[in-house]
Amino acid sequence: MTRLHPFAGRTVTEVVPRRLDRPDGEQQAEPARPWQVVVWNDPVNLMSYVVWVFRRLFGYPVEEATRLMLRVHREGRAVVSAGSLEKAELDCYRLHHHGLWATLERT
Amino acid sequence: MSGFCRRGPEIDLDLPEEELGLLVLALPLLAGVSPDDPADPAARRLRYRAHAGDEEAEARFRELTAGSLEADRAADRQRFASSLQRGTLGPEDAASWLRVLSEARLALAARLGLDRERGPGLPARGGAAALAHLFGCVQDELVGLLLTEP
Repeated sequence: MTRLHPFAGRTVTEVVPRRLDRPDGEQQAEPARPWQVVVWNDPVNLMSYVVWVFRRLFGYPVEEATRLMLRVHREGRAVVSAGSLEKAELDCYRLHHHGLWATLERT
Repeated sequence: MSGFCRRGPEIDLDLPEEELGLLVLALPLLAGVSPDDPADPAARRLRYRAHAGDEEAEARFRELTAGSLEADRAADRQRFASSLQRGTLGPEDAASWLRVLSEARLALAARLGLDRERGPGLPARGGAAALAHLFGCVQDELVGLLLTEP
């Protein structure tokens, strides 16, 4: 039996910025990556484990994953990914599955 | 001395029998966490919010993910149990091990009364803390092996 992933069937789209010939005062500009995923510090998860999670989920090189982990540790939070609402929610779900405390916020 | 030994794409367990006997305690610990029990601090700790301050968005996210999160966690525990019995971990087994050990440490820490935002870390003494410490040591060793893989 195949279990459907919670985000199966939902189209994950990136909002691509469009070029305008002149500023369009009637429309609010939508950021290309309107949502960001924030990971918050917790006193339990190991630093090495957090580095491994960032590498596994986002493919960061070990140096970048370590930099983000240290930012979480020292500053209490770090933005680890950004994109459309669908992508950000999927990333957030995967972080929750790995036991990390993650939330979404608008950029 | 290492508790894990890489053999190609697989990892052989080389942990002492008494440690294996303690590791398996993660399973009844997590099985005893009822996700919707508001009185259990472990259940509250393992219940995440994605949309802080937006109840409507949070309800939609929870409806979309809650069942799958429990199913994914159950699958991790199954992989953990079967590979522990087999004595060999495949790549996805190793990932399940790390998630189960993280989840178990979070549950133990919550029941020990630690604040996830301002807590001082796991206390040094006590049976539950000793178990959490062992889970952490095993997790750290396995992560180290995975992070240095070619």
